[in-house]
Amino acid sequence: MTDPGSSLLSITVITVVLFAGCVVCLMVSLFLRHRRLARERHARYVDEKWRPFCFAAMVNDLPADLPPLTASEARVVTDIWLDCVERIRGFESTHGLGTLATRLRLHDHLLPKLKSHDTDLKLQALLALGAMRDSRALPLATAMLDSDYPLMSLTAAKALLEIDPHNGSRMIMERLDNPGWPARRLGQLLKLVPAKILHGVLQAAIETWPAKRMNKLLELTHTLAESEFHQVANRIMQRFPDDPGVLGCILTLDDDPGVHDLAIRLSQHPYPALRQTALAALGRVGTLRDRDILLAALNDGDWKQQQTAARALAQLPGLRPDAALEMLNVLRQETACQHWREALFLKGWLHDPVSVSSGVPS
Amino acid sequence: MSDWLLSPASMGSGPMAVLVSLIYLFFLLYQLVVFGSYMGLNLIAFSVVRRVTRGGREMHLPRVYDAALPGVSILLTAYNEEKLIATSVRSLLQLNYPQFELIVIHDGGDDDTIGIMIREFAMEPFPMTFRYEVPCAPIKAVYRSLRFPNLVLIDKVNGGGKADANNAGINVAKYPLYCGMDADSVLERDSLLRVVRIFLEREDTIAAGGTVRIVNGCRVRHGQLASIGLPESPLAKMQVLEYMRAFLFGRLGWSRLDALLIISGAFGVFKRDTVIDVGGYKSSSLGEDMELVVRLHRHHIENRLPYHINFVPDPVCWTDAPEDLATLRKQRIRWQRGLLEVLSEHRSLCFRPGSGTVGWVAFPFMIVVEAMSPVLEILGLIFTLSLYFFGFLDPRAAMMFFMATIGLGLVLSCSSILLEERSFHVYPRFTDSIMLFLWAVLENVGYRQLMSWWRLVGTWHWLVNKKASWGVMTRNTSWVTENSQRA
Repeated sequence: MTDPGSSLLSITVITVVLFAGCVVCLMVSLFLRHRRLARERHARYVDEKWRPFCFAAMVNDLPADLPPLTASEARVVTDIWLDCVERIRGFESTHGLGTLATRLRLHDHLLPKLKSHDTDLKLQALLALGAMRDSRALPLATAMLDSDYPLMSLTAAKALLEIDPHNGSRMIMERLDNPGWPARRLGQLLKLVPAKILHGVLQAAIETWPAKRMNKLLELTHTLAESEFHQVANRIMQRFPDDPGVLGCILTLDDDPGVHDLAIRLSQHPYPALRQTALAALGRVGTLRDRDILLAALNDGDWKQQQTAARALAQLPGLRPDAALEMLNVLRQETACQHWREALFLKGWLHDPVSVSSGVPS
Repeated sequence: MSDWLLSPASMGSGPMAVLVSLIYLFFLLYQLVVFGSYMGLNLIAFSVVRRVTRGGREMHLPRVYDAALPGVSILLTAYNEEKLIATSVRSLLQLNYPQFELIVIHDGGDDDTIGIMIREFAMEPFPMTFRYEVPCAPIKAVYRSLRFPNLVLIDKVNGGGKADANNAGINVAKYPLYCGMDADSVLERDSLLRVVRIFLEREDTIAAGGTVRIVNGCRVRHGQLASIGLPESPLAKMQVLEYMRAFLFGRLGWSRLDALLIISGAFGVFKRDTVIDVGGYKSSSLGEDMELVVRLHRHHIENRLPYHINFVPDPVCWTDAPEDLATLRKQRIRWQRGLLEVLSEHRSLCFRPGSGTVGWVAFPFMIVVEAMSPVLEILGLIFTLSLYFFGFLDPRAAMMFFMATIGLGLVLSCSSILLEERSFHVYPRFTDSIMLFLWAVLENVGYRQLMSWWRLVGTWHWLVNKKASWGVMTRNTSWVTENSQRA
């Protein structure tokens, strides 16, 4: 048995401690709030002070004397600076902003941030130093290329390509399979690399890479140089003539009439996904002569294939509205009619308001 | 044992006294388990909140990814929402995200929601073809806006709830991710950027939820949050605290343990294909949002598939909270029934080998702490009052014990206020923190007991299998400014 008096005392102490803890929590909250409000006021002040200089820099109208940039202002100023760099492109504004960064010695404030444990600061510094083409950011950019955090690795890739396109393009091609790197975005970034360097790197990849790495390479090449994609595709097809993955990827991306024969051949392929890709390609590169193939596919039972065939059929050059409307009578399945009606509506050939949407069981 | 609290002199020292002491100890122990679990979650949240909140990383996303971000279909369910629909749609169309479509699902209501949509956004019928990949009531028509190419309106037969409406939206959606939300909610402009970030960061992420806040007391102008403040109504103020506790440390803590069982229906992003694989939302469920998340867990655990379900504390969705007792009662009864339905339906997940923290920690927690708490809280209260009436209770000690219980609750509320200050700091004024603190004290007297009582009613309805219905929720639209309402 415990002494009731001492037990009561202990529960009283616990209660008092709990209430005191609550009051401490509240006081700390208020203190944090005070600090935050002060920070926000400071950020507003910095913004008002420096944004006009950034705008002036973009039209090369910087005053002879600039106020000194303090360490506490650097983060907000870098954000404004990056915002201006990203939004307004062109030699004049880039040059002006570069001059502003040099005169403010912005890089001196950013370089220590590369070693920061704060991811946001590190990202900001990497983006800004990349945009300034400051080679002192290279070691960190190289190290961060293999970061688990895709946002960091892609930022590092961007900075690397901006600062050292020659080595950067090689390193990025080696890591092209990184699932966190969308091929389209990589393509946009690789456009920063001089064409001669890029040509060599891509040539080597096209000649040596295995089939499983080709899809991303094809996507990349398509983003980089759409007009030369067909030649690249031909070369890769020579290496992998029967690989369904590679052929499917080529058919998805290539708009050159040269793939017409391939599309016709693969429209009968036993693999449904490949057949579907071939039908979609026929819409882009086909002619009215392919109408029957697409109509046959539209009459097929597979829902997705019908959808693709309908869209492809509507794309065929030379298809007349009256002929397209008549096709509704030869379609055997209701789902085929639905798909075709949707395609006709999108073309502006169907004006029947009663023909509203329709769904089919999965 | 507990003789400091009970009066053994009046009770004697026989088996009755031992039994009463044991029962009291049980309630005491239960309180400690509940408090300990919440405190544990709180500590986890404290340790991670700064790392995962509003640092500005997501603002770099468009800089780094440009247009290569995955497309998102936003599903906005509207059932008799004529007062709010134009504001909500306008708000969502202004989201800062490179590729999204907004699908408004008119779930067969009888007001002018569809008329407002057609007039305000120039909607025209569109012969869209889609598949019923997940079951839903028939879709009568799909409209597209002539003014906003990414706005779609679905007119469907009422299917009895939000689950059915969401399923219709999933069938029509064209993007790989979809975001389910309510018509009475307002999203912050960068919400989608913040939540999609997690899908890019963690490869196997199949769903992610975000923080939901109470919009009452705020001002919404032209579909955008113009000012943030605390609501006037005491009921809404206490819900502000509840939401803060639930989202700030509850879900953040569970997410850290990879055992998040709830993603709010007001704002959650899911991989469309994965949801189709598990059959979409269950129309008959009252807690369809939790049911889907638990089913996703179960599907992936049973099939040994890699997956993550995350909570991203940043993306803030502001939602309307009921300010009248009748609506709040309906809501809480429905939540409790939904919770019990889900837990009983997926009970095989509890202590299932290979289920990890989901089956061994989160699921038992939901049963013991969330589902059973109304029963045990009300029983504890009745038990204490009976002891008092029979003179078995030392009034001084009972009062102190009551104060300690309030203190425990208050510690949790205050720590969430602190957590809020450490991370989101949404409410701008000093007085907001002080007001929240005062309401954290007051909610212990009456509000908590009322919530427990309603949840107990919900438990009873579930036990007797009472016919469930969604009912009409009274919306409070005072937060919408006149400009937006007229629009």
